[in-house]
Amino acid sequence: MATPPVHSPPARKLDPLAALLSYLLPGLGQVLQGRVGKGVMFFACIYGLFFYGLWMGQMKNVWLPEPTKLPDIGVPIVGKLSGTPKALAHRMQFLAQFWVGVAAWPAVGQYVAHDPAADPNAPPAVPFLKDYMLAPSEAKLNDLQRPQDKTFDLAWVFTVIAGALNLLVMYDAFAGPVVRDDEEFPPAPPKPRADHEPPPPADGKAGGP
Amino acid sequence: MTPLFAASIYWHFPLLILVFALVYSGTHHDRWDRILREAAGWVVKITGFLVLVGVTLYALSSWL
Repeated sequence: MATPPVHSPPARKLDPLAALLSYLLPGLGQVLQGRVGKGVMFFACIYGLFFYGLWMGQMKNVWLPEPTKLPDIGVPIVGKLSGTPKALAHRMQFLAQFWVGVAAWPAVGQYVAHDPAADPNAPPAVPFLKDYMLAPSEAKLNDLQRPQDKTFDLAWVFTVIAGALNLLVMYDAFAGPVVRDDEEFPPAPPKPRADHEPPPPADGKAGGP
Repeated sequence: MTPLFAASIYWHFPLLILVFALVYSGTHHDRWDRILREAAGWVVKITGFLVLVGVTLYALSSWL
């Protein structure tokens, strides 16, 4: 018995530029693809969640620590971490927060510009950022966590989820939605007629008495 | 004993649930009716789960 032909959907067209744009600003890739409403919704949701979390954490939960002052971390095979991998190992939240896009770049700027040998009372390394997304001191972190209502901990969770959700948004810009809605498919080819079926009338109209 | 609805940290959850549901559903569909229907489903499922866990823990802490 012959197998019926499988009607497969056309291959997805991938759009790496849109994915990059959606990384920079959540939803920007979708806007450039013409999916404006969805792009705006992604932007509002992800920036809303990220900055709400930042506000809940008193703007002190998106940062990268100075690695030279931190205890060593050993990783099997790799050995002792140093530099940025060590900073990320001590602040794993930033691995997700980074994916929110340019909103997390001040933390990168503060990390790169910070001089560990500088006087703690010296003016900020990036003057226009001041202490925005600068790694807080140990004393400041203790103060923030002293109220014990867990708001500070929930706050960084919000920023982490915002970054992780933007990975999904980037994938949507790159390859489209996960589920293809039926209107994207071309109509299925007509089924082959059985031999005993009468041919359609010559004028193309449905037959009837 | 802390009243169930006085724990202020939980009042931050609706935003998180709504954003997750909208973004997750938005990456699954392009049509708004499907996005909103799936998002509503996620809101109900997540809220129901959290309420169930919260009520269970509250009951355990109150009567055990």
